[in-house]
Amino acid sequence: MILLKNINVTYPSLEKPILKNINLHIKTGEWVSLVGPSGSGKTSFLKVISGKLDTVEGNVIIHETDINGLSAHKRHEFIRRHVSTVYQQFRLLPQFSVLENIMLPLIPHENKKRIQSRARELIDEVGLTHRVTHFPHQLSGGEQQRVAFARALITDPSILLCDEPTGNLDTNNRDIILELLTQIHKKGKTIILATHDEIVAKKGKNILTFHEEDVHKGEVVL
Amino acid sequence: MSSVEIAAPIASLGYFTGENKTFTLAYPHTSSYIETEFNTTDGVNEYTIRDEGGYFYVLEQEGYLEGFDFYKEPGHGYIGEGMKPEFGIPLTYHLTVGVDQEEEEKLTGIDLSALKNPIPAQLEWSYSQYGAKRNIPIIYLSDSFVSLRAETSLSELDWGSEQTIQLKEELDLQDNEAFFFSEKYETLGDRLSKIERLNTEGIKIFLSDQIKPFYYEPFSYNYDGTFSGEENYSFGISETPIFYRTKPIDYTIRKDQTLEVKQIGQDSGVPVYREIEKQGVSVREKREDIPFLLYPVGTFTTKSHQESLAASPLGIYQQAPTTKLDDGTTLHETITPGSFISSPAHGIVSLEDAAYIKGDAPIDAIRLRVDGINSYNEEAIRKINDVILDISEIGGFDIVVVAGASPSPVIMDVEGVGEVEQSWTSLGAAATISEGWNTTNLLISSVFLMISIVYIVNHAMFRKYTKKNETKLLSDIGWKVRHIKQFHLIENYLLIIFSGILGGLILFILYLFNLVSSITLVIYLIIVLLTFLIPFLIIVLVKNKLRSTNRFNGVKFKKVWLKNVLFYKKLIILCFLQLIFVTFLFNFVPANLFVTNQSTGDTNLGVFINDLILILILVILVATLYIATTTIIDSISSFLFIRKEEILTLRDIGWRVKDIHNTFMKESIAWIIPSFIIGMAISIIISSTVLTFTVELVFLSICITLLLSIGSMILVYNLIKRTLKKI
Repeated sequence: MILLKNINVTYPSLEKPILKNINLHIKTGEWVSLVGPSGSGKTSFLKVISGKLDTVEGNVIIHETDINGLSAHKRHEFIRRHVSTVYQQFRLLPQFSVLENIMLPLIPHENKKRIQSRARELIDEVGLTHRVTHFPHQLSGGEQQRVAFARALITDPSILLCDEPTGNLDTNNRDIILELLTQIHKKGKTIILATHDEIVAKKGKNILTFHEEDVHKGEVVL
Repeated sequence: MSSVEIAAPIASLGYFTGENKTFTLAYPHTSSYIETEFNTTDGVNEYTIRDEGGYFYVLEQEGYLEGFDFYKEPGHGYIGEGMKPEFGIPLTYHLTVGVDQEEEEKLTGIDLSALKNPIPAQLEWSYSQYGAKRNIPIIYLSDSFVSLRAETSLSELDWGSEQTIQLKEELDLQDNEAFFFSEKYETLGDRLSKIERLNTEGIKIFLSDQIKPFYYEPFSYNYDGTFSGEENYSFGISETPIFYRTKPIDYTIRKDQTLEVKQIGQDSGVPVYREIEKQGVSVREKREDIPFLLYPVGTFTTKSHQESLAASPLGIYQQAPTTKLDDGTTLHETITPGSFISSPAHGIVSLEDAAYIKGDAPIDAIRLRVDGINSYNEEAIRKINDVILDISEIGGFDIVVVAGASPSPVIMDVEGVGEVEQSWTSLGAAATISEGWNTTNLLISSVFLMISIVYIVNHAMFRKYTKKNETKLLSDIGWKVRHIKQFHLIENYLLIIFSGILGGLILFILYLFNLVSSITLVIYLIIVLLTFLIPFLIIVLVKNKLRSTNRFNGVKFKKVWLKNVLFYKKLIILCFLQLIFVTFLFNFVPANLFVTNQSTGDTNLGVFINDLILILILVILVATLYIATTTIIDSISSFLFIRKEEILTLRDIGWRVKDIHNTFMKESIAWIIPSFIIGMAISIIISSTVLTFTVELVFLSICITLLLSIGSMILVYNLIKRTLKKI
């Protein structure tokens, strides 16, 4: 469950707030698509939920914990356990193999053998069993994004944030990713996905549209 | 041999006695008992000289000569009517050498012209009766030190003029007859010893300033600490044909390299530490066939030549003090031969006279000065070697090169005295230092040049990688690759020109002050021109591909940090190399300094030269430290900057800053510490080859590397922490 109360976000470099007076309730297991033009605040919205912004006013309540009231350290720890993000640019580390990239989020925290077994399961789930020892530069864009999804899921988060996950993919790969997202959603994960792609957006149960003027007026309502 | 400027022979003759002589005390105010004994000291212990001194009764007698008559202990020298209290001074012994006056003067600069003075006619006439076969003029060291002190006790006697007259009556003497005319004179001592002594005063009379080797100027002590000339005295040169040859001290070398000196006997109550052999005859013992008599004809001094004689061959004029190790007390030779302290020459005779005294093969050494040597350099070494070759061809000589010789402190444990430090003349310190530093300087300069080149290459490489985004941007806005490269080249060249001008300016100022030679400016110009090549080669020729992913495939390391090190090896390798060079320098230079100091630093010249070089070494070490610090700061900062995206990703996928920090620390340790260890190992291997392998050297290297490692880790820790905060 995600509950946002009176959220205002202002960047020091901007005169106007990027998000203003947002109140929102997203139930556990929902798939919410965020649509809107560039600069309308989609990524900022995701950052609010992933606790990466220090300039957030209001209450960001995730599973009954207001992460905005937590110290940076505790917030980081909370998010690590409950929220994962997938990016448009995949952001895989080139020096690590597929398996290692997927294991990476848990390496500082857990036993390697346990992570490895979990990572192999995820590789199977994303259909890259034959790519376990390959490196990112040896994969296609779609495969890289699937690795990024597997990496996001290794921590078993209840909330998956996706920032334009198909933005760099062709339609074929996009469809594979959408299928993967559907599988993930079926497992009860909350998915919040920012996209420009109408087809992708429509996969969501709810679509949250960001308009620049709405933001300025503070009238973003679910 | 035309290349020999001076050839100064020397003949060591041994220890000769000074003259027989007395010293006189002024008359006291009342009847008195005066007893005197003589002491000599080595600076630590005082030794009473046996069989010298004696006692003297001065008895008031109104109207008799100076108002006193006397009784002198029998067997203690001459007695004469009206004599003041007078005691025979113990014989003193002085090292004497024979030299060729002109050559010696040229070699040392010491004025020995007094050797040409004629023998005083009066003195010669006085001793003509002995018919000595040769009258030998001798000059003596005017600033010599003779360790002699008189300990006099002066007791006032309960005795008046009437009692003196009464005693003379008892001895059947007239009032105007001296006591020594009495037949009972020899037994008079017992009678006088019964006189009550009212009070006794102890007087220490330092005779060092009054006594000169081979020359006597009569003096009298005035009880108030002053001396005055004296007309009543005894003097004779009859003992001058006696001399002592001394053998070298039989040192025992201990494990700690100190020397042990055992006392082997006594001479007149004074310890003797080396064998002495009496030579010649006493005129008193043998009235005929006197081989020679020494006649003092003048003085010489070495005081003003001590600095220039720092490297004085054979140390015959050396007056460097011997000191007690624990409290620094200055020690000196006693008046007898056989002291453990090597005495400087107190007396000089002509080489001809020395040959007469010594007989066959009188010359112990010939000291040569090679022509045209103004400084100790390669040319000087060549000239000296040429002369050595020439002399070798003549044959029959032991050749010792003393160029660069200087006094070197040696620790000795002397029986009855304790541990002392004595200066010995060591040979060839300058050669050792010069050879050592020539090799070292070449090595240091080469390594430093390599460090500088690697530094510039490394810096340029990092600049190239960190400007990747800028390059991409320029490319995106339509710049051709050629234009981008030109742009970056100009940027780099501007930096080189600016730093080149600045460096050149500093060098030029140093040149104006004669601190660097003109060749340095030329070399600098060449280096600056060569530096222009580096950015060209890197920007134009080196591909922009930082990550060697192809080769990386299949490499399986379980540790994240180890994978990272391998992945970024292209970036790390230059820093790694640079730190190896830096560590090598940091280990090798102090190790070299340490070893050179050990082998040459115990000489004054060595200390002087090492001190001079130390400044250069400090400059090199500071510059190396600067390069090491800059290398680490540059590489770590650039490394973090290049990997900014990676850091952000790691944070976004749940890594704490602490986790990232730890990983980067491990990565840094993984290449910095091995580079230090390799640098240290190379240094130890080269030091052991070029210098000498010692455990201390290895220990020193380990300590330096440990310090370097700790310092670097502190630097890296803070650098990563600060940079991660910014990211």
